[in-house]
Formats: sequence, C-alpha cells, structure tokens
Amino acid sequence: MHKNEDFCIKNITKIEGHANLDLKVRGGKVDSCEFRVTESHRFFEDMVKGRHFSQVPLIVSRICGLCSSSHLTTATEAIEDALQIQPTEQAMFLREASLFGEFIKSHALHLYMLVLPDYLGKESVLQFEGNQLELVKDALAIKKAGTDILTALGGRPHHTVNHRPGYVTRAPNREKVENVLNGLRSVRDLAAQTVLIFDKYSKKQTFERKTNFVALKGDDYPLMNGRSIHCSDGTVLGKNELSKHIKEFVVPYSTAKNTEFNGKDYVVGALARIALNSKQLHPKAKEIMDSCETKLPNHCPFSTNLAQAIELVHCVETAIDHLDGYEPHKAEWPDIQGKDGNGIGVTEAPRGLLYHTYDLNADGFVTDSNMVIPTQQNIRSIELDLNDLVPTILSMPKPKAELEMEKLIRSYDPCISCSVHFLKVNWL
Amino acid sequence: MAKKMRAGFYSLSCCEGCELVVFDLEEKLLKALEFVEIVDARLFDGNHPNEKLDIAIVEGGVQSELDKKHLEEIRERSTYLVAFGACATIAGIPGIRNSLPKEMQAKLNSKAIIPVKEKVFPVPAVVKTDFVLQGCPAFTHELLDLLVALYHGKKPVLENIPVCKECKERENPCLLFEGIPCLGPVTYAGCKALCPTERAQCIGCRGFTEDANFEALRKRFRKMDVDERIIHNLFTYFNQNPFKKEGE
Repeated sequence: MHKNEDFCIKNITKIEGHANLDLKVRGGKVDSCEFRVTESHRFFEDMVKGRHFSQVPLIVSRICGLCSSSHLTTATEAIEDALQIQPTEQAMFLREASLFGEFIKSHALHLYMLVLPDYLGKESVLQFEGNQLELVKDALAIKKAGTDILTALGGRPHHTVNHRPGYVTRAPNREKVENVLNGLRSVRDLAAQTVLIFDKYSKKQTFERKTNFVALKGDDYPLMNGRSIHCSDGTVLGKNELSKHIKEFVVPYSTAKNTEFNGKDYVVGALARIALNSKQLHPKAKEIMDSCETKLPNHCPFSTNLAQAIELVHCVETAIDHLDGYEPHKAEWPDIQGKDGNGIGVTEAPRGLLYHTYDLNADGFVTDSNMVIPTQQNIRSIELDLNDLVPTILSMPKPKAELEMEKLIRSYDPCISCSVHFLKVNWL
Repeated sequence: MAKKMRAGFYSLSCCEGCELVVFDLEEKLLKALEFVEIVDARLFDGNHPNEKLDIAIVEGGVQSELDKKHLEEIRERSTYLVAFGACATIAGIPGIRNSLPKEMQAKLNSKAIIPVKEKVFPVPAVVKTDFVLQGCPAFTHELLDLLVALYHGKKPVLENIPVCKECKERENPCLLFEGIPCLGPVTYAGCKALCPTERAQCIGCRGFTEDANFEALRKRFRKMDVDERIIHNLFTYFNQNPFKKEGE
C-alpha cells in the first residue's frame, strides 16, 4: 500500500492515567510507534526509603486506585519475606478474599465503563441510552459485589486499612460476611452475562500476534503468595530468580520503564493467566469458557477483555466458596520486630504480574526497593501489536483507524499511574 | 427545576482512586446524574477541553509544570473548583517527596523525563480553591452533600473537629491507651473514625486541624516509647512535617 500517515492521539481516554500515542506510517508500514506515558514520575521507590516496614504497604497502596489491594498485598508479602515471618491464617484468608473483591471491582469497571462504549459505538458510558442503561446498572451491581468484599473485610472499597505485615488489625464478623455472600450470589448471572457480551465482540476480532505469556502458577488459580512464575516459552522460575529474567529499560519518550522477559516482549494479565492456568479455573468459569465461540487461549490482544470476563465469573464463584467457609477468630496482634533482610513479593494484580522487593535495615526501616508493575510489562507488546495492526486498518477513515488503535490499547487495560511509580536513577 | 450543573472531573498526579470512588455512589450516582451533567472526564468519557463548567472536581497534586498549566486552565473555565482527596488538598502520599532529604530530592528532580517541580503542591497552593474535600480516598458522601448544596444555591460548612470526637461517638477504645500511636487528635474528622474503628491508627489522610497541638501529641508518643523515626514517619505520612523549621 501507498500510505504515509501520522497519527497522534493525545490524552487517550478511558484508561487509568495520562498517555499519548505517536505513530508514523511510511509506505504503508509503521515507521515508528511510541506509546508515550505523560504522567509525572511518582518516586514511590524513593518515598518508601526510610519508612518503617509497618507503614510501607499503606503507602504503596496509593500507587493505584484500581489495584490498591494488589500493591498492598504484594508489599505485605515482601515484608513478611524479609522479616521471615508467617502471617496468621486469618490474615491470609482475608487477603485472598480481598483480591477476589479487587478483581471483581477492577474488571467490572474496565469492561463496562471503559471498553463497552467502544463496542456500542458511544463515546462514553454517559451517552448510553434505553436498554444500554441496564448495562450500567449491571456493571455497578457487579462492582458493588466486589467493593462490598473490600468494605466488609478491609474497612472501605479502596485503600484497605486493616492489613499489616503478619496480621490483620480487625476481622469482620460472620454477619458482615453473610451480607457479602448474598451480594455475590445475586450477581452470578450478571458475571456470566458479561462473558457472553465479550464473546460476541471477541469472535469478530481476527488480529493475532504471537508473544510469550508470563503469569504465576500453582495448584489453584493463583493470585497471591507467588512461588512459581511460568512463561509460555517453557521457563519456570522461583520468585528469587525473577529479577534475573525481567530486564527493565528506559525509553526516552516515556515516563514509564519498559521490560523484557528472557530478552523478548511478553504479555501479562488476564489472557496470560488463562493461557497458563485454564485448568485451575473454577469449574463454572471453565464451563462458560468452553462454551464460548472465541477459543481461549489465543494470541489476539482484544481477547484480553473476554479473559477478564471469564475471570469475573471465576472470582465471583471462588469468592463465594471461599467466604462461605469463613469463621471469625479472635484477632491476634503479634508484636513484630524489625530485622534486616531482603524480601520479595509476587502477586497477580488485575492487570498482571506484580513484583515488589524491599531491603530492610536492622530496625526494620526500608533502605531500598524495587517494583515491577503489570502495565510497564505490557507497553512493549502494545507497541508491537500496533506495528502489526495499523497496516491492516489503513484503508479505514482516519478517525475510525484511530479508534481501532485506542481499542487495542484499552484492551490491555493499561494503568498509567502504576507504571510511573518509579524513577530510574542510573539513567541512560 | 433549576438547570443541571455542568461538572468536570480532572486528575493531576495521583492514583485516580478518588475519581473511582465516584462509582461507589452506585444507585446514587444515577440519581446524581439527574441534576449534574458530567461534561468532561477523561477517565470515563472523551476529552472536552473547552467546556465551561459550573464545578470542576480535581484530584491529584501538582508535580510538574504540565500539571500546573492544566490546573490553571481548568480554573479559568470553572465557577467552582473543588480539591478532591488528599493529594489535591494536602499533597498526600506524593507529598512524602517534600520531606525527603534535600540531596535526594535534587537527585530525583534531575533524572525526570518530564521535569518535576521541586516540591509537590496541593491544589489550593496553586490556584484559588472554593472547596476542599479531604481523605484518601475522598469520601463520596461529602461530594454528594456538596453537589446537592450547590445545586440548591447553598454552601456546605466543614467543621473543625478532630477524628477523636467521632471515634468517641463510635465508642471505640482509644488506641493511644493500647500503645498504638494514632493521629486522631490532630486530624480532621468526617471519616467517622474509619481507621481506628478497624483498630488501625489514624494516619492523618484528612489533614491536620487548625488548632492541632502537635507538641502534646509528640510528647505522648515519646512517653509510649515510640521510635523517633516512626514518629517522623507518622507526621509526614500525608502531611508536611509540622515540626519543620523555616528554610529546612
């Protein structure tokens, strides 16, 4: 094809945080593609230095409003690893349940509020009308079932207050959990409906690009307590080896670092988790996945949304099973002393693999830290996908082609605030 | 019925959690949309940078010149401007950067791709701010109260009372008596003592009260044998260090 065209999409909407896309096409091929994160640096790795370990999870929780529990849990696990302590059973139980709540909240908001408008031909959810308004109500109901878990177990829907390294300051009574269970049971059908909606849109997408998937792996469908990390290239790692395989690097046009795994681009998130753990999905989620016309796993980035919808079913069902067995114990408040050490925490956040590491001094104050977050791991793949996708859509009118690019970016559910948490000090 | 109020939501540097809490209004959100029209919100709508607004709701702090320009431009086209949540009202967690040692700050600033300002500024330090709604994340019921009041041509009054008052009303045992350092005595109420009710210390996310007696609280912490570094950490969680001397 003939075409030369410059695309510049400023302040991409319906993603978390600020980013632009600059893409140049020369002779029908993508000449340069820059996903520019324009959010200011946020310095979290430096801000936790000098902080007592007990305060770190509450600080890093503020890296992200959408996945605060994931950051909180990852930091908590890393600090427990550094202090060589075992959390109480109660704490583990509540943490896991909170992550189900967070996945439900995050996926429901992303799928219905940010992605669905694209497929319904609307600029935003605010323009929905008639029957479409029912979808908004459905989305809010699913989201509520998720945030109700977080509120009952953690005090509020965002930035949980009661989780500490080693324990929880307060556990909910059974009555509160019963209410949560009722809420979850009432959205089972809505979660299943979400899969049908996104199957319908996914099956129309034919674009594919082969890449590697990276996710936690375990006996269940693991979201936390990461021990074993798998890559679809066959690599199996313990969490201590992860930093040797993930290479972070800076690109001059963006405030977010990019990453490679074993020297290659890769994808983390719902699609990667399903690719590596589909057997461990809740039977109900597995059943609905098998009944979809779109066959997962595939290498179509747009399928991420379908994978998220399947996870929505998985998390609702697993949370019901999990919380049904909840028995409140008297809270334990162990006196945890600081000690020097290095700790690593790896979890699955809604957007993918999340890695925190902290060095503590003898009194338990942070001396160094590093965080690798999902969106920065996916940015490289977003750019490579666009390289392949754009030549196939050049015959479209420009606004439509731009919408397709935005759709691809949104399908990854990028979370920009997270990705600029860092500042690389040894800078190129 | 009066005309719908035209509102915009804006994020400066932050986690965007405060914009997300708006969805926690759930059915009340749909009710609110009967008298509020959201005309500009990048997170869940398109970009409409030229819309005139009755009310601009701004989350996040000012970290860069870009943020500052954006904020001034929002101010320009809004009748009322609301600082929404701790980053916007008191610089919040990103403001921890302001309490880092000077050399470290200089090092950080010199490495940034988008030049950052020397300090993180809350919204009222940069532009005229009509209302501040505190908290990390901000509280939806306060936003709703504000919107309803403005719609009826009234202005809400924010009380200058500490978290302790609401904590007592909930009959919580005092954490200070259990040896847990808590910022309840010096922090604005309005949260219904959410954290102490979960037996978690108040970390000051709603900002310090006007008449806060920091010295007395610090003495109390020392009497409890709290490590000086932890005391410093606590007072600089969300707020500027109140013990900082001029020019420090």
